[in-house]
Amino acid sequence: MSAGVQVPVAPGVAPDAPPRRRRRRVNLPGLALVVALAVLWEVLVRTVLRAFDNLAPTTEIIRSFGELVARGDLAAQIGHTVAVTLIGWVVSTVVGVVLGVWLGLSGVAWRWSMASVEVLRSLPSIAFVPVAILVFGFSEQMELVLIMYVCLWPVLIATIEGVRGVGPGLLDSARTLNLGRLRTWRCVVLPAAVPRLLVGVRLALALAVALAVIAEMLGNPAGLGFGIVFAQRGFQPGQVFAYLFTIGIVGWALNALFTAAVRMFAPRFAGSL
Amino acid sequence: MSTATRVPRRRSAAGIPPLRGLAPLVAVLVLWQLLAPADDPYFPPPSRWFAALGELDGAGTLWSPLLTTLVTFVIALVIATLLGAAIGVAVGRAPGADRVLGPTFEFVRTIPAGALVPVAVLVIGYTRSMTIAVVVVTSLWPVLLATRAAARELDVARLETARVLHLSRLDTFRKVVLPSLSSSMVLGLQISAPLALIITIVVEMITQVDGLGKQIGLAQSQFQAATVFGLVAVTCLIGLAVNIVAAALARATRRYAA
Amino acid sequence: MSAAGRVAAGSAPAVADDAAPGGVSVECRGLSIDVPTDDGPKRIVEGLDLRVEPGEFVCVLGASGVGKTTVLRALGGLVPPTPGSVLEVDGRPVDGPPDAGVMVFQNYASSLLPWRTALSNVELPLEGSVRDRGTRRERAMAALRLVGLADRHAAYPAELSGGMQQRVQIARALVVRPRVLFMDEPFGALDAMTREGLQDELLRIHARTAMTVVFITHDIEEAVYLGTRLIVLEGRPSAVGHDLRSPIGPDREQVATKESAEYLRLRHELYAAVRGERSGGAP
Repeated sequence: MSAGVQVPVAPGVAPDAPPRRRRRRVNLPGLALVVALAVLWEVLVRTVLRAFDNLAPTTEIIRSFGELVARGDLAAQIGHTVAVTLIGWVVSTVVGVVLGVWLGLSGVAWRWSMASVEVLRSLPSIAFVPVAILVFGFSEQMELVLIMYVCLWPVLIATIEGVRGVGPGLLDSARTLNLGRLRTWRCVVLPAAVPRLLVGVRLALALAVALAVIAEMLGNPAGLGFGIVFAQRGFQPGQVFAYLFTIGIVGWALNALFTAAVRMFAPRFAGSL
Repeated sequence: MSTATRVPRRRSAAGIPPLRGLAPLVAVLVLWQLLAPADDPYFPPPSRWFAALGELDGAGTLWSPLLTTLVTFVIALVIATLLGAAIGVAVGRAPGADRVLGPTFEFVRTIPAGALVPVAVLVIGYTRSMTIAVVVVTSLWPVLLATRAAARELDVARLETARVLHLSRLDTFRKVVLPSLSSSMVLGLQISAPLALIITIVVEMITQVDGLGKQIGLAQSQFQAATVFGLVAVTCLIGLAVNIVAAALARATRRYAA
Repeated sequence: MSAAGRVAAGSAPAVADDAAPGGVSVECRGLSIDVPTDDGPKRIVEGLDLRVEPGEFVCVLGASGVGKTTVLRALGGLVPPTPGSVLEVDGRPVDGPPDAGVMVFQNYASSLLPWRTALSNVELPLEGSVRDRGTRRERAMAALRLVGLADRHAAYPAELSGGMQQRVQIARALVVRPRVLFMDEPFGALDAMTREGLQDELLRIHARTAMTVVFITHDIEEAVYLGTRLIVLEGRPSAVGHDLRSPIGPDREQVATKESAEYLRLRHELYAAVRGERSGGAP
């Protein structure tokens, strides 16, 4: 599971907005720290931590990374993990949004299913990995089904909350202007739900990456998850660390692409990201 | 909406959905029980799950792994919470710390937990400490972020009040800072507790270190579907219990909120 | 038609070509409203009788919590009254928001759609009924011109000041050519200068369109300045306590009017009325 969860907000405290780097200046201090850490790591591993022979200094990590790229495995593995992640995530998002809109708008449907949704969403997602492996074996199918099932819930919940959480001021306005049910849904409720919805979709993306990696480590011998386990079992610390950073970067990149896409195509709703 | 209308119905308390919403879930379980053949290799009926758990209990491999997992989980959660709070406060009150630490924190925070396991195994080996290490690194972030936010916003007025009343530093910490921090810690805990549980089990599954995760992995590799479902159900129950406890804690500390 | 809606002789022509065709009556008889509370339904309003003639600018005053907003929402069709109450707009029973009326809310930020420009917000109520895009845009621009915001039509609500946002909301209400405008303390969240500017704009619009206005406020000065008739709600549950016709003429100005004898007399009367209610009815 990814630790990239939503920031919890204490009551009465302004939401912890990430430092808005709208000023295009590069974050030099931050970058400096990263470089400093890399250097420090190199020094430590070669001196103080020499007793641990399963650590790889920075230079070796970079070399291993080069090796993996040259071998051609890395590209294919990245492709596999990313493909599985994206397909599973897109499907769960579509289903989650459609279902969420229905449950959010229909009082009857909500009353007769919300309790079940609450129970199902609170079940530890990891519990379904072995079930997926049992039923679908070691395959892409297993990864996809797993991701689609687990990522459905954050999207569904966020969509429902978005739809039902439309401000009463907006609803009152829709009523006094006699917009009618359909137009109220189309022009007021659904657009108002988008910001909250997007938060859930973004969370689902992080979840999808994490699950893909885990599924590959446990079940499907392909992709980055398999790569890192293979390297670890082969006692290749340099490669293990290289895979670790690759996975981290892939996750970061997908998230960054998503946020950028939202900012470009739906700038009015990007405030919540 | 006519002039001859009833009094508007009151919204249900605290937005808790009506219990009849459990109907679909119950229906699925009932149908499953009725329709699945007892020896179905993929989806055995719920009654078989209990039987399978009973068999595990008989063989002595139910409660021991369960306890192991719970102990690991609790230890890791405590460490993660304390560490996360300490770092969060330190970062929150140090001006400029955000900019420097930002990129590094963001990166480490978003590393999928699974990826950390091989690294931890390589460095620490197949032990409980390794599990705890992985869980701590992945679960300290919610608490860290929450306490960082709270520390930044720590009511200057409250701190100045403490100074004006000549409270000692220890007293200031105990009576002013700690209560507001505890509230944000609990808020972070609501997210980190279920997360820590999941990751503990993930690590056990991947590494086959003793615990619930290992048992589930074992059952799955031996195609014992009923056992798998039974253990999954146990995991879900523990998860629900954790959520309930965390929510109760949140309610209890709400008055201390900044 | 608009004869009864004429404000007074000597005023500007009551109907302009792009404005509403005069006002309609708003009437309630025996209006009672129950509001749900934790201890069961509570009767906020009991047996309220009120008839607003077409074209009147009625200001409703009263202490906080007396139920002004509730009454307005009932008149506007947003809150159902108890069975037995009679509620009519233009002689027709109110069953949900009436076609002839629109409400303007105090919290403008919560009422405008933040993802639409000012122009788009004003076009919103037309999208269902006016098919042609050009016509829609023209009518919306006309409404914005009426409130003096034509040049900011491409701005989003977040880019506008509070006063401007409220004006956009008013324009949105005016664009459907309503015959009665329900206003719930629309200027309550604005600073004094902005408030005065908007008050004058509202008076201008009222003079041009001759629509009926039911205006809630807790500000006595504002009520005396704006209204042609003033209602004070009193009691628990509340009903009409005082009903005064304003002697002030239609040409009003922020400084001159507020120094005039009629203004001061009416103001005095109202303060006494409200104070009397506060001290339990003793004069």
